[in-house]
Amino acid sequence: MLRVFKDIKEANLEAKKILEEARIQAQKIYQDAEKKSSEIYELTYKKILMKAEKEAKELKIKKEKETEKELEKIKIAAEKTAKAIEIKSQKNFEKAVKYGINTIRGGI
Amino acid sequence: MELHSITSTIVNEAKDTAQVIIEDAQNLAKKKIREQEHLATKEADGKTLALLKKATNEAALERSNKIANSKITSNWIVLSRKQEIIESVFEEVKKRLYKLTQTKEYIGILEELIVQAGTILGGKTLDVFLNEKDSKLLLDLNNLSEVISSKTKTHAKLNLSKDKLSVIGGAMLKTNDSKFIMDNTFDDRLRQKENILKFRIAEILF
Repeated sequence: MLRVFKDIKEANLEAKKILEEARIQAQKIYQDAEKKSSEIYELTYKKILMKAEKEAKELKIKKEKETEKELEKIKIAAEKTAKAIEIKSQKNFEKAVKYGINTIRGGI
Repeated sequence: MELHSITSTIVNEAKDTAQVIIEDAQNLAKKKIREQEHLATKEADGKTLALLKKATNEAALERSNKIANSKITSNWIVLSRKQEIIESVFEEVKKRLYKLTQTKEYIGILEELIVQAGTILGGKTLDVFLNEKDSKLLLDLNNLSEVISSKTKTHAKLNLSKDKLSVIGGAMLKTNDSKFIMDNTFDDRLRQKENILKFRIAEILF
């Protein structure tokens, strides 16, 4: 009878030990998870942010290229206007010179 | 139940419970990681939106500034080209006026400019200032004095000054007491009419 109690007690002790080890392991798993989740947070945040920064940079480059095209159009339009002015003024140059001379002569 | 069976049950139940404890911990760990990953994604997405919005705004502002500057430059190009053409007309007018001073017609024009200036000054004794070349022309100042006298109903007397002007042509007259001057040179007429002339020339040209 004594042996029965002894065996049961030993079985209980073993069970207790198994449970204690499981709790320690569980605690470790959770602590590791805490640490890993923190790393994963940093990694995920950084990865997305890096992608966003790249996107933002690309967006700016794209917009800059579009602006450059617009600037080129404005420049071409100005050169075209200047050329048109030059052509028109060539036609009226003599008339303008004669007007200037007549004005200075003042009817003399 | 046999003793062996009892002890085995105790140990096995403990093992099962231990297994559950570990599995729960593993599940909790996985959940924790998923949650953090989700949180990081959510927060980074918010930051991404802000970053892209900032980049868009900066690009729009930069575009706006560049376009405005470009338009100013374009206007300046057109205006400066116009200005150059107006100036070239002015230069041509000066050249032609100089050529005019080398023609026979010019003596008559010069005489008329002297009479005009003398009449405005009201006759009397007047000094006539000309450039070096015009001073050598055969001008009948006595006759011109008579014309001025007749126009002003006073006695007019023109004297050719020894001082020479640096002008294209025309004459400057000064009263004997130097109180009044009438500048009727081409150069002064150009200066006086410059603004209105440029405005009108621009209208003709463009």
